[in-house]
Amino acid sequence: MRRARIADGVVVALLAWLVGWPLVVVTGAALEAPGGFGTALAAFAAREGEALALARSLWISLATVALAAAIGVPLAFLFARAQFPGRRALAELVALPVALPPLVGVIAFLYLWGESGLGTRLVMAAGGLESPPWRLSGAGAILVVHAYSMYVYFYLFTRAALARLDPSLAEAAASLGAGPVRRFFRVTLPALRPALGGAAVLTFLTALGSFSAPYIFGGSYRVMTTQILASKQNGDVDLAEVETVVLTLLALGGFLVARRFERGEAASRQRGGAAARRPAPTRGARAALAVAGWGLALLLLAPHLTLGLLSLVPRATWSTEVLPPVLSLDNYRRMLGSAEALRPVANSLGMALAATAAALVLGFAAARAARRGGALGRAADLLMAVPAAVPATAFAVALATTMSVARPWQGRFLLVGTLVLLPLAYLARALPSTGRAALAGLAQLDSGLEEAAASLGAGKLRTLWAVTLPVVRPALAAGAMLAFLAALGDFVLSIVLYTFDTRPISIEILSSLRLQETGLAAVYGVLLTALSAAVFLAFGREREA
Amino acid sequence: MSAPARPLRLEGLVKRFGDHAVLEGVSLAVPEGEIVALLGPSGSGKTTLLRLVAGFERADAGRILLGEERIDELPPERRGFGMVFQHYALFPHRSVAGNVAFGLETRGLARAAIAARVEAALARVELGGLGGRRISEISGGQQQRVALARALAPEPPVLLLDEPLSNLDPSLRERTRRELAALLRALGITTLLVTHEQEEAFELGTRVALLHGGRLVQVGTPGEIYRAPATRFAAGFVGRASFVPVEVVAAGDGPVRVRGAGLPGGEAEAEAAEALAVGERADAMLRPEALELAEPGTPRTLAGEVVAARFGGAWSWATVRAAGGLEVEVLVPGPPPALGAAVAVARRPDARPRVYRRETP
Repeated sequence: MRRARIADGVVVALLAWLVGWPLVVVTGAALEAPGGFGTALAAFAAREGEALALARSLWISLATVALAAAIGVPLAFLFARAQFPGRRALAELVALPVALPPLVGVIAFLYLWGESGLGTRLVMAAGGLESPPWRLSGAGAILVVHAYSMYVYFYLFTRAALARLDPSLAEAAASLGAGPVRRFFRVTLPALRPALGGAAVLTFLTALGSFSAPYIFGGSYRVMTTQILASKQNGDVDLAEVETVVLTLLALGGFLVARRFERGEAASRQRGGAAARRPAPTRGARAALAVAGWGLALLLLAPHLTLGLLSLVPRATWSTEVLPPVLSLDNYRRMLGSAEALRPVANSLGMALAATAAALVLGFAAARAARRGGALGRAADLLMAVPAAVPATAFAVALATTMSVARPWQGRFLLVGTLVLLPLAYLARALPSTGRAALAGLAQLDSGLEEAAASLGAGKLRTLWAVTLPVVRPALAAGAMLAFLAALGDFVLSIVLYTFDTRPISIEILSSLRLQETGLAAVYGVLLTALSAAVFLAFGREREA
Repeated sequence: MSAPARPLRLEGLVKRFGDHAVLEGVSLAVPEGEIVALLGPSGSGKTTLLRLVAGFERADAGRILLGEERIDELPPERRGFGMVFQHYALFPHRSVAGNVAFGLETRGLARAAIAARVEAALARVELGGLGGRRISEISGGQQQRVALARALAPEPPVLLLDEPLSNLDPSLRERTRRELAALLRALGITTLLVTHEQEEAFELGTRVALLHGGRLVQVGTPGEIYRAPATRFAAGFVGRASFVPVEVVAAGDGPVRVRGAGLPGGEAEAEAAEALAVGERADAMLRPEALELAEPGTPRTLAGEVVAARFGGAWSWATVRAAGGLEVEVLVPGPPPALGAAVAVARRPDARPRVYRRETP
């Protein structure tokens, strides 16, 4: 027991150094700004661009929540309640965007609905228009892209809650005289409230920390995340630090609200009967539902399908035609044939694997410490969750600030510009996924199991290896999958922290795009999409089995 | 207190799920104010029958009438029946009082009237003062009573109960059963109750409807069903019984004479549950109280060995295995005999076996 507490102490110290310390250092740096934090904050608030960026971040995040709910909730009802051919497969497919890297989604959206996008060209051709009917930029574009990718939170949360919902609740309401409309608004919707609240907070936090969409589509429309990067790239490090602290505080506020919702949901969770799925009464209705389901799914997955098509368009072969005139595997050959072009792929895979493996070990150790409770346990529980709350841009700046000087006695090392910094950032971002998964797995582990192993003569290591790990493995695998996918497709941490030698796929996509290599960028996008989808869907099947 | 009780009539109800027929033509009359318990093993269709009455399922054939009004085409919310669900289905987002008020709100009552009736409904189930509690804050027994109060508050003409006690601890179940029986009788409300437990059906039901394989096997008072089960299934499902193979040696309009090596006394006059011909093979049903133990070697007895025994206070049950592996259960006064003891089983002189045609395998 005593040895376990010492190990927990080491784990907490490591977590504190990796996760907590950079935030403390950047806050300290912001406080030390000439004239103190108050002055810096006043200066921040006084600058028109800053206040505006903050207001825009908030506004965009709230609007994203509303739009994502408007798509995700009806979609969840359609797939949970209606019955039509292909429902099961589509229900999984519609959740796919959650596993796809945000940057790839943004690029795919650009290829479909951008000024020279495939969909835009089709609309122009169909309407006989001379110029695109819309411009994909500014707040509108950011919002559309956000809604398009973040509806998945509402979709998944609502679907899960509907599956758990006891169907006899609605029956009880009916037997008490409530008609369908009253049942929906007075019983079903209130019963879904904790799930909807959870999805709303998660969407809000994701939108607040969203970087790819504002970066690609925002242009001069700056939000906090893009503002931080701009300040940093302009050399205004003090301002970047103040911005980082402001955004972090905002996100941590949302995070605390999210934790309350989570507890509320856990309390209201009830035994679930099999949800009553009423088959559509007529053949016509079935067909209509099937068309609606397939149509929606196609619309939501269209950007990624477009990405696949555009990866087949060789460089400089498509100018004004509605559809690309030439399709070939040329771009794939160019990527596979060049060591230089494969380098980012190797980088991303290597760094993601290393970060995931380390995050698994650290996350599991942190989860065990958390379950042992006490002050150390609470610290481990909180620290491993923090990176999920802090926007990646903010965390990257904090890490860069902390690791830009060599003061080992302060726990600060000169890591900026080295190969280590980016994987270290991936590791920190992966901790919430692996740590929470380990916690969930350990929660399933009946403590009697470990005691039984001990009573049968198994030592601590043997118990861990032969009993604990096998039981926790499915949950760990789920966490590892999420962590790996996030690291593989990361763009936000990378753009702040990458060096030429560690440049990952996402950065290569961006530079290909700048060089007008849309086809090559699409190939990288397809590669990321395929890898992510394969891991996600293979895992989804295992989850159901 | 409640709305005028009205009789409920089910006529020829048929329900299929795909190719599987769950109900094959069930007709049942529940006179006003009567409590009918639908009793049957799992899969007998009793829950489906209740859900048809509630309106959650539609019958493939047949009619449901409340008084003279045909209701099987109405949606559940327009039938106005109170229902208590197996897992109670209490709304987690509403307080205890909010749950009870729900059915009154849908009827558009004024706030003050709702509050008064909620208070009265909670008082009736001894939950006065708990209206403000959250559902997660009250015990399972209290949840059961909230569910009952919620169903009764709108004063429905018919009350439907789906295994209302199955979610309670055994110790609590008996007390709750007694209270529920008293409450239902005091209210005089027409009630249909689903249960798979005989004790529950016998204590709560003024009449019991026995279901098996989607058909009504027998409808009667608990006493009628226990004394004269209509089929071999009914005899085995209700109460304890031993079956002894016999052959019919004489048959007429009234009782039949049967003979069998396993029948204590060898031959007996018996009640025929169905028409039997001389020479036909049958099973004679004997309740444990129809048998008694005698000294080994007593004439006109069945010799055997005690293989199982259950102590029950003033009375005990002994299972006796005779030659050929036939086992019969005997009710004995006082403590049971020792396991392995050699005994003889006699038939009480006034006890008449009931015989059923042997089911040919």
